Amino acid sequence: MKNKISSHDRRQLKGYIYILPWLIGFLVLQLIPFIQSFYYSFTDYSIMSSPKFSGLKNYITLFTVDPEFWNSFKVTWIYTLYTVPGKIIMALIVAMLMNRDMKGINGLRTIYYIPSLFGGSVAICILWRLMFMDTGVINGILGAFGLPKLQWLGNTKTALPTICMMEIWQFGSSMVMMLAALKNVPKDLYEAADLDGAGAWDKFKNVTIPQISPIIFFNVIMQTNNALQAFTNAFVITKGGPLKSTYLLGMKLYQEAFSYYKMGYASAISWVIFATIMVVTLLLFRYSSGKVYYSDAGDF
Amino acid sequence: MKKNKIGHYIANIIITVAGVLMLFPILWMFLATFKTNEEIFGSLKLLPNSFDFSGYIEGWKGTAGITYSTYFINTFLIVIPVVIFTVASCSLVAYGFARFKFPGKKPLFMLLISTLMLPNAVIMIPRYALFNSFGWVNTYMPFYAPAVLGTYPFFVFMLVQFMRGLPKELDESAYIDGCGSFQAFVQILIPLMKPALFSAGLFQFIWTYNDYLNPLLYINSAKKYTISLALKLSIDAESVIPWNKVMAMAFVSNIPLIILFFSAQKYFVEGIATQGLKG
Amino acid sequence: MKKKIVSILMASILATMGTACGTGTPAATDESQNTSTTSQVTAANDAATQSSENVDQSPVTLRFMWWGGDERAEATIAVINKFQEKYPYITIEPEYGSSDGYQEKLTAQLSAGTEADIIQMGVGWMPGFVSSGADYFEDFNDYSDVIDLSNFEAEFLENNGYFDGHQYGLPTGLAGTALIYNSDAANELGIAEDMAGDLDWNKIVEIGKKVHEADSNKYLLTIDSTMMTTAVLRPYLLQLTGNTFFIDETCEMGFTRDQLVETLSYIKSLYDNGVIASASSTESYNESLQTDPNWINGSYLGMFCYTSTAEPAVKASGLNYAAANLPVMEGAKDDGFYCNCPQYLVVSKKSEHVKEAMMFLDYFYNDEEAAAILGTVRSVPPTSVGQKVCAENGLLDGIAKETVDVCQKYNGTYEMGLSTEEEPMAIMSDMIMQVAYGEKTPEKAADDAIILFQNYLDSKK
Repeated sequence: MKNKISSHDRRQLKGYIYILPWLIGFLVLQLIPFIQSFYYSFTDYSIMSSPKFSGLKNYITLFTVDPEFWNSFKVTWIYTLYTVPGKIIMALIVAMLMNRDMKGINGLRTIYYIPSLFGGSVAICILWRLMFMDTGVINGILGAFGLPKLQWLGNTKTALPTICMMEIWQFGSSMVMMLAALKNVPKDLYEAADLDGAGAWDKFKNVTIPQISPIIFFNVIMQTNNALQAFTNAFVITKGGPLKSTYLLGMKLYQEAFSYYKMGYASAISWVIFATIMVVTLLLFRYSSGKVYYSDAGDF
Repeated sequence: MKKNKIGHYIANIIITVAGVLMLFPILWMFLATFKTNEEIFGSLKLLPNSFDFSGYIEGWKGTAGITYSTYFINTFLIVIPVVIFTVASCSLVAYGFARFKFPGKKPLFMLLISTLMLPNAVIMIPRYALFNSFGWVNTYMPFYAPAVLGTYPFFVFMLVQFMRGLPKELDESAYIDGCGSFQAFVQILIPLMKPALFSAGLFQFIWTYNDYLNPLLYINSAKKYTISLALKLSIDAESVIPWNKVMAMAFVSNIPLIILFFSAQKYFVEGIATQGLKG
Repeated sequence: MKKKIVSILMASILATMGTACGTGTPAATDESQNTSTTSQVTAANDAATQSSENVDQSPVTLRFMWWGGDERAEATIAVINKFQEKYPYITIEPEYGSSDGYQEKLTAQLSAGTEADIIQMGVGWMPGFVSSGADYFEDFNDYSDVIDLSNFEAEFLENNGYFDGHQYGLPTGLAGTALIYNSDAANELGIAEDMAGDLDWNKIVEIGKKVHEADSNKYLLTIDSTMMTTAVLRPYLLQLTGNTFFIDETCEMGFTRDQLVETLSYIKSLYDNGVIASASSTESYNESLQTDPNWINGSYLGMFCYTSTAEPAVKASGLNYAAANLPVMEGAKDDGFYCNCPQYLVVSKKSEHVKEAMMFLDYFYNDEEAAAILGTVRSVPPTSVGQKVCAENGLLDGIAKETVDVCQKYNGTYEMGLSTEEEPMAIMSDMIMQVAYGEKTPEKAADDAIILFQNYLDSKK
């Protein structure tokens, strides 16, 4: 018996061999830039000149002097709280609806995925602007229902939700993952639930959700991570305006780095973002333990 | 049972209608490829005044003698190896994390995920300097190397999650039957992981295909440009942008992706016979 | 034969001179010097015999990076090809792209030393690169034997691309602020005479009121926050105070709080009187006003823009436009407006073939054939040769030329430096937008912004 355990342990060490490519990749391709950016966050580095150590100055300025930081921090969180649940719920609903036999279902799935294909293109950003302008389609529809016209992208209250809508519209990737996960749910579990006389909601709650929880969890983590760093769509459509109401932290950091050449300061912002995401991720991991269902019984 | 069937029909109708609505922006874009700039920006009409294909013909010619054929070939030269390497390396790394218990695993896994958490903007320049010191600027190595070495934490994490959804007894029993761990991985897990592997490959394909910033940074020569770079060539504040051309090419460049998605879905949505294996 | 001897003699003399500032191995320099002078001399005498005299040239490859649309790319590549025909041993690799991400790429390249030999450079980025202390660019005056700068107006060169006693950049064209208006609509509304005459800031408000009262859907002007800083805020203050926005020598603001409040109040009056449509309807078209449907359908009669963006704007709506004079207040201490350039061309210090790069730029700027191909793809050319050729080919009609002509009438003080860096520009446009949206009064906005300006200036001391 003892012998078997030690051979079992020896076998476990083989894990190192499998993760070796990543380990090499991390050490060779990623580690140095990481350390550099961490060091830069304590300097006045401007890309063109060599960095001079400045202690905690960047962080102090960020938290106490810079009036934009807290605004951007807030905007970023609102963006995250809209888009992450929005995307995941949309993805889950659509994936459930798509997980069935129906004529032309392949085509439909493709249709729901297409927005994610086109998402990043400039053309779509332009279109989004045209749709939401004062004489655009959206206001036309509102007008038909007797609702007042809105300056969607020109108004400080509606600009951010408009950007969020565009992001949520691109839920396709999450949907694909959910679909793949749904297909993996063993049918006999549903049959067993049927025998117990469970309703649709019970089945959803007690079978579907636990079975695909690893993938939902993965999506929550990754989408949060992306949302807290996001800026592309807002950058193209509103450039952070009006009045900084869509000035995401990612955009601020990008401008500090490449428009103002304050690489040291931008690095400090990055590490604040890093720390934020890290805390959120660790909280999610802790909260999820026991709630996310793994076939390996949490043996990780 | 009858009630159920009506519900089924209603659901079908809803998803079809919603799907069409989802597609509206894309339809608009497709029809815009036939329009003049004045029509695109000045009118709300969906249909173009006439179906003029010059956006496609002129657009395909590209700039200065380099046509979209070149851009397509370059893009595939990057994307296809990247996808193959990524799926192969990331699934191996994921296997290592999901199925083995070695000392330091949890911290290493956290480290892996944490590499996604630092915004790209500040790593961009140090990484550019690093890759330049390897002599990789103006080559496709900055795309291949991370793929070969599995440094795509997103996919590793994703595959770990899928793998942990598969009962451990499967490969465990194969191991007891005398298979090596690699054999167990290839023969037992890979077939079961097909949907996940296909989705990972699909995402990597699409994301690499659409990536703008990395090609912009690492590729200098116009003859090596990818589609994502080519699509932006006409866009400039100081000249009249031929939007019909830009939209036409944006549309054309997405056709391979649509076809890929459509034809690959049978792999990632096919049910897997794990029934009876669980529990 | 005589010619050949003379050219060899001259070449060797020049080569000795050249090595003082030359780069690379002596042997290579010698050879390239030889080439350039030989070809220069022969080009001057008889271009046809030139190829027979070009012996034993080792191949040279240069990289030329620029951004811009299709037309610019096609024309530039055509010039490169012509140049390569003339000098078969030189190959120029074009590296062109969109303006999107160009600055980031250039920054990464400069920091790693991988930049192209010849680089198109944004006017606003140059002060940052030059003041960093790193020595990135060649001084064109060091190569006056290769590149002839006499076709540029000396004063223009001194104001464009000249930093700390070095000509690091060559302007690619003439550009500046433009005010364009729909001439047909102006006739209809009876404001044509006003618009064609001299304008001051208050007159613009008067005309604007008239337009908006005649038709509440129409506005005299459209302008975005970026243009509001360059075309209104800074010129207004410059005229009011006679100082640049920031005084670079002393790192101080060139205005008092009250003067800033006055300027902001003026901007507020543009919105209050219906001269400009509400900020919320124009702000979503920031930096792309020509795509605003209200511009395209003619609801906005005029636009403050750059001379280089006037043409796309005019073509976008397809109506008839004319260039108006730029507004100057009564008793102005400075013209407030001036003519500068849309971008520079620079040569990297890291280049191994500076001589050849200079030869190419000499051809690019001074050759009639090149000028004919390039036309106005980088705005109205800055050289007398370029302007002559463009005029002969009828390329200097239309709004681009008109606006440049207007712009050249103003001799305001150049504001290149602290005032035009992106960080304070962002503070300025934020301040303006706070007033435009009615978020803050001019007083409050000025007070808040002054604190930020001071922070910025302190960081530059």
